[in-house]
Amino acid sequence: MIDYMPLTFLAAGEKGQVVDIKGGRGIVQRLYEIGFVPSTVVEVLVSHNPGPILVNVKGARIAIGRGMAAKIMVRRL
Amino acid sequence: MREEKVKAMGIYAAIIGLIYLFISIMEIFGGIYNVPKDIFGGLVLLVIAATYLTGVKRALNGECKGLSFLIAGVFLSSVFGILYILILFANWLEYLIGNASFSFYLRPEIWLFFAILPLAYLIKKEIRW
Amino acid sequence: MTTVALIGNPNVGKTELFNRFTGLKQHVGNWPGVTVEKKVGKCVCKGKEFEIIDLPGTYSLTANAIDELIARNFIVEGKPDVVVDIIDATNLERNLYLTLLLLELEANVVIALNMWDIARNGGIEIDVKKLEELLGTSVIPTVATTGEGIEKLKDEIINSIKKERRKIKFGYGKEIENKIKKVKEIIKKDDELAKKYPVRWLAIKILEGDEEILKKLDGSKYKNEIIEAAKNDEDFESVLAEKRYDIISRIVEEVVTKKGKEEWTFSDMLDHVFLHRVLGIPIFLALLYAVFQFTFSFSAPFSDMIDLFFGWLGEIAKQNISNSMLASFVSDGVLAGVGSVLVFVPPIFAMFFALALLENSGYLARAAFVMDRLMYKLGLHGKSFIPMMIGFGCNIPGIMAARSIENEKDRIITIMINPLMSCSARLPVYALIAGVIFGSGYMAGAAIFSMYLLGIALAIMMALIFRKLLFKGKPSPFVLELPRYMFPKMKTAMLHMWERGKWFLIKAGTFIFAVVIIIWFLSNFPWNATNGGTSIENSYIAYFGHAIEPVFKPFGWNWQASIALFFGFLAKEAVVGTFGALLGSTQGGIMEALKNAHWFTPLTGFAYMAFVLIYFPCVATIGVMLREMKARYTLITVTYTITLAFIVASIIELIGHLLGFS
Ligand SMILES: Nc1nc2c(ncn2[C@@H]2O[C@H](COP(=O)(O)OP(=O)(O)O)[C@@H](O)[C@H]2O)c(=O)[nH]1
Ligand SMILES: [Mg+2]
Repeated sequence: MIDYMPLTFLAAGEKGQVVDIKGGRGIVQRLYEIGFVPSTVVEVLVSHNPGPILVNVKGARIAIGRGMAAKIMVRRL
Repeated sequence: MREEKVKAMGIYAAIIGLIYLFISIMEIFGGIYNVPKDIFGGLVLLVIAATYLTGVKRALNGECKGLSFLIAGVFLSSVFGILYILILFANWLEYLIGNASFSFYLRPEIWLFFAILPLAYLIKKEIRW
Repeated sequence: MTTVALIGNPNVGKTELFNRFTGLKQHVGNWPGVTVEKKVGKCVCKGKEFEIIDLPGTYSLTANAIDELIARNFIVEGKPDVVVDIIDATNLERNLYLTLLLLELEANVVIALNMWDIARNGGIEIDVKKLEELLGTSVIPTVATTGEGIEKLKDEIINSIKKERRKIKFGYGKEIENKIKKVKEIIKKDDELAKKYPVRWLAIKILEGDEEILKKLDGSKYKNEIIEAAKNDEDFESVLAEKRYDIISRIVEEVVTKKGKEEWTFSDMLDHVFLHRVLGIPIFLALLYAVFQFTFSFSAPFSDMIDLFFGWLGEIAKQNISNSMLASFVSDGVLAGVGSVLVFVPPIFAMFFALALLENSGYLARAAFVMDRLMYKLGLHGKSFIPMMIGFGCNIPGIMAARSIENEKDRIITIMINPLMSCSARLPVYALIAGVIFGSGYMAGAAIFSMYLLGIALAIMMALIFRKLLFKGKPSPFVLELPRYMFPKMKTAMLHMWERGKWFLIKAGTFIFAVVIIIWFLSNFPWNATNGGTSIENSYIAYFGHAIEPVFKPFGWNWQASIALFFGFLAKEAVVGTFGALLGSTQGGIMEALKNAHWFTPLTGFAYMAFVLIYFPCVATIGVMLREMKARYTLITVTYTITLAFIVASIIELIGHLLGFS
């Protein structure tokens, strides 16, 4: 059973734990640097489809595009 | 206790929001009483009204999230209140240099700004900055 | 001289600290990437002179982004004596990542634990002694905005030059360490490499497959051996990033205590509304409207004062200078021309002030967020919005701000549409024409506001077209850190306003001054034929104006308006300067004179405003464009703006006529 899903599946106010990042090396690296490393707990603050989502990652408010967010796999907490 | 306060603020915001809505309509269509016709200005008031009114329902439920709309509303009211006070001052300067006549006309945005000050005070006491 | 480099994540207060150190005032802003250029300042403290270098704000030191590369190269090659790493005390977890990288680079690091005030008030306790111990560097709590802790930081910088730093190795676990060791051994064989770079750092970078570093191996005898040893099939960069965050979370656990449970912060609350699905964009438009009302209505009396002052000076000059040619030169040429441009200092400064407030409060980044949704659909990028907003002040810094957009296609589109943003040099033209055709009051304000909206609409349209024709594909992904909301500081906003607005004064004093003199000459000579400037119809400028008039005749613009457009190529505010010189100094100022001249009807005037908005990026903007992108794209920009101006002005007049305006 797969128990993880793209970050875009979380609604505002929900928290998730990063499991994996899919995608090319450039994107993965970029997301790692801003804190999306596996086991980090992130909280979705704002998510209106369409439009970017706002996530609390390690204490910072990071706005990321929906396409990029879809590459971040999280386990809902 | 806290929930009570949020509810009280909700009622206050409902009243303020409705006044904003009312004046917004007067400004958009213009000429009613001594409210000037100012379409853009009226639309701005509509936005402010919407901000307050969106928060009312939640605030009446005692939810914290409702409070955020009131805070944003207070912020917008202040921006426009202060803006029109500055413009009033500018008009007075214009009169001093002999370029225009001057009437001490308080745009509704100005007195509405004073009307939200109690709400601003309540909120400031309530939340941690 | 001792060199000190400042480094830190975006929005940690680096610029603020730089200003504290150097007193050299510079732009303070909120979006990442504003300090792409290297800024250098000097500071004398305790009798020693320091050179302070402001490095770009970065999260990391990879070769992936130009900012990071600049910072890294400076530390590796420039070997500054001290690197001051500024970290945000309220968010150690993120900020320490860069710190670890710097320590890995074996830089001489001193840590400024900034935003100490916010941490203190927010109930975050940090055990500074412990942090120093764990990192092996000195850590000084600071508040850049008030200057708290700055003296101590200076002392520590001086100390750290003499002191041998205790090196702390952050281990990455046995398996990785073994690999690092293996590569290290081989690097050590090459004396030159080992002397030039920190060996452990070099080994790690090679393992990570950093392209820039691999290039540095060229010329080493051991290149192949090193690469052979570093061969691995793991994604080392990601593994190491993960390990580093592990180390950080252990450090944070030891030094940080948070009092009170986590609540919704003020920023969370405001974001809930300002980024609201429905309310977000209307609120943004409302605030934009406030900026323009402030710019236009509030500054009006100050402009009038300047106007009156120059009118009065002109009268005095006319009455007291007996030589009629000189009198005309001074009053109709210099005073009327320069005065008519200086009148716009108040609105321009007001606009920069208001934009600075939006920016420093943290709202501008939110505007990028709410607009991203729209922008994406239009083939643009949320980040493109910040250059566009700054473009309202001046297209030049707007175009430069586009550097923060990593993707080249996105960046070029953003630059190409920037001239459609109504920069403040266009404001004088709008203000003058709107005042003439609509009088003073809200109607004129609305007309001006509509120019800004028109610019945005056209920019969006052109972006769509460029995306379809020139740069196929989707905009690149959007990542932006939203700073926390802050009450903007009056002093910072004023500084900001001055920094960005002073170019206008400089231009008025040099460039515009020259244009004005040329126009005066052309409109008063031949002196006898024009009867000392009284019958402009016989002047050179009239010949010239009549020559180009046919082009603009269909729009209902006379030769004076046409010639003003010609001078507007140089700088858009020269349009106003031209009117000023053509009308001469008159009682009641240029606006009265233009009103009485009846050169514009509401419709032709409105179309004229639109034309001025679109028709050409000014010469200075073209210069920057050539620097920032290929000449081909600059050429396209010039061509499309000219074409678009004619099309839009025609449409406005056509629709206006159909609606029965004249
Ligand atoms: N409260 C507080 N605000 C600060 C401090 N340092 C900087 N700021 C504010 O934080 C914002 C970002 O600072 P800035 O210097 O532009 O950050 P940079 O991006 O690192 O250059 C500005 O509004 C500063 O006024 C500090 O120590 N305390
Ligand atoms: Mg900065």
